[in-house]
Amino acid sequence: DMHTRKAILLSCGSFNPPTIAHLRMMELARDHLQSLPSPYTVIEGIFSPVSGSYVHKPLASDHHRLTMLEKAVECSEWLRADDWEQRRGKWSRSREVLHHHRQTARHRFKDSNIDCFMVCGGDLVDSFTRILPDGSSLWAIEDLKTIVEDFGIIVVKRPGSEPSKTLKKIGLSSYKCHSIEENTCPNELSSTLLRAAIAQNKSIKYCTPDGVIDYIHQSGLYKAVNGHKANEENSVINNPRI
Amino acid sequence: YSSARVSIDDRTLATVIFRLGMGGTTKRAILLSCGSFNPPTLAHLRMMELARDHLRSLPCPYTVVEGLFSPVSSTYVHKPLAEDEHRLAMLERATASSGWMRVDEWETRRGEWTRTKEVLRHHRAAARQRWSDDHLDCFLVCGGDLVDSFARLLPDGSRLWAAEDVKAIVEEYGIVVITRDGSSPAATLASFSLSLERAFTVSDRACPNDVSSTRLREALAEGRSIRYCTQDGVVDYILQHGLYGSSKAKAAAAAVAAAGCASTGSVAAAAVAAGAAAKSPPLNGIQSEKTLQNRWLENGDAVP
Repeated sequence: DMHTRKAILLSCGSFNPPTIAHLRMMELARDHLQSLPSPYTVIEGIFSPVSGSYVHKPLASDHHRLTMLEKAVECSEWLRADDWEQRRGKWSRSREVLHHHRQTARHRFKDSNIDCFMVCGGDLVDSFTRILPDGSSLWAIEDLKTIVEDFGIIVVKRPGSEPSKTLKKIGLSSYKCHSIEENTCPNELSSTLLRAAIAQNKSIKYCTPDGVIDYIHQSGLYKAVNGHKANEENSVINNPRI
Repeated sequence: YSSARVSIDDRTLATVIFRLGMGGTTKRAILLSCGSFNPPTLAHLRMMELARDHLRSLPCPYTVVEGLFSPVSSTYVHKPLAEDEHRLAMLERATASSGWMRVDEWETRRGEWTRTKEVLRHHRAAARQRWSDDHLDCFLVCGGDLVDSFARLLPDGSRLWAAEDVKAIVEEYGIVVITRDGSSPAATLASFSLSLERAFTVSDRACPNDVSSTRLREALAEGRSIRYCTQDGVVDYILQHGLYGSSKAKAAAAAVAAAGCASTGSVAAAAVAAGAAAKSPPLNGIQSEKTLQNRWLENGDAVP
């Protein structure tokens, strides 16, 4: 093993707005891969914000969310925001976004073995077994197989939860599934909580990088309008790409 | 702000009426946070923001003009702390992007151990002079663990905190306690039969978290990232100076990378053992001179 394997990390979502929890997940994932017995070198981490056109809940505009992400990663040497998903002009499955970025990285870094892991929270893995009202599965099993076994996932889980059990339930191998816990900065921060704080004129300083906060204030995002919260969402996972 | 419309709610209306009645001025306050800050974390910074938000939104609101971090001097605390200059520098970086918070070195420069009450007294007097305002208040901002420690008894049965100090802090100055999970410091305060007019309890609804200096030190000793657990400038400073075992952990990681896969387990374990700081109870400095003397005597050191 003269050469360590290389990997890039991908984080998908609304980022409405981005928070330090999103950033922490990437740091944890990188730490984990780089300290495995057969370690990876993580060469970049990509935030891919979903396009609001194809999601059935009100989000700040694509431009706002992309810009906030750019500001969030401004001072990071290895994280970046990417707008391929937004620019596509159509709805994207997670596995397509993974495929695009792995291709691109393999080409750019001239290494056909670069891996691309999806970084996510335990709630996303929980959603793998969800059944819709009409009885169909939220996720297509072949998509899950591709994501979990071909690409690989790094799950930042809540203490006590077991993502590998969920995968086993649906017949997937956990060999490329890494479960990790946030023991340094345990938090329940979420975009939902941040939006609520902004609407109530409460301070969100230190919950997201300063550049994001300045941008939110300058653009008047998430302020309460006539007593109602702007951009309210009803559930954490409303319409994930499947 | 051009496109946002502001609606006047009842509370805003009440505040406007109150301020008109006061001749247009609100009471001024400064906030004081004492501790080791070893290192300063996101939680320390959030505590101040929460305290300020709370005081500004009281029915009789305050204008919070300043927030001060006063690090304890490592000379007078019986546990290993990074040197005063490092902790001051880290706090400077932690507060650099804040328009209202700063670090103060009066406590470190005193050359003797200082009771919390004294730090409050000093800063309130200084602020009253600076703002030419005899009514300016100075609140202590702290976590639930500090309030819990008010009731702590030492092995010899004496109190850790002098009762008159607790009374002064809570009744004369005031205290804003930041808690998790809605735990109630009020019970501890009630046991002292104190007036709680100037005691406030707040929890962080926007960013509930359990980050602590202890967790950060553990992460650093194990070579794990603390990015976003504190301000970037603090992280950079720690890594530049190799504080908290971070240089050993970094060297260990480099050795692992150079050597390949084989010896990962042993090298990393050695780094952890070498860099791990002794765990001590989360007490923000020792509050009674008697305790300090007793602890030094127990350990056979000369009392300064």
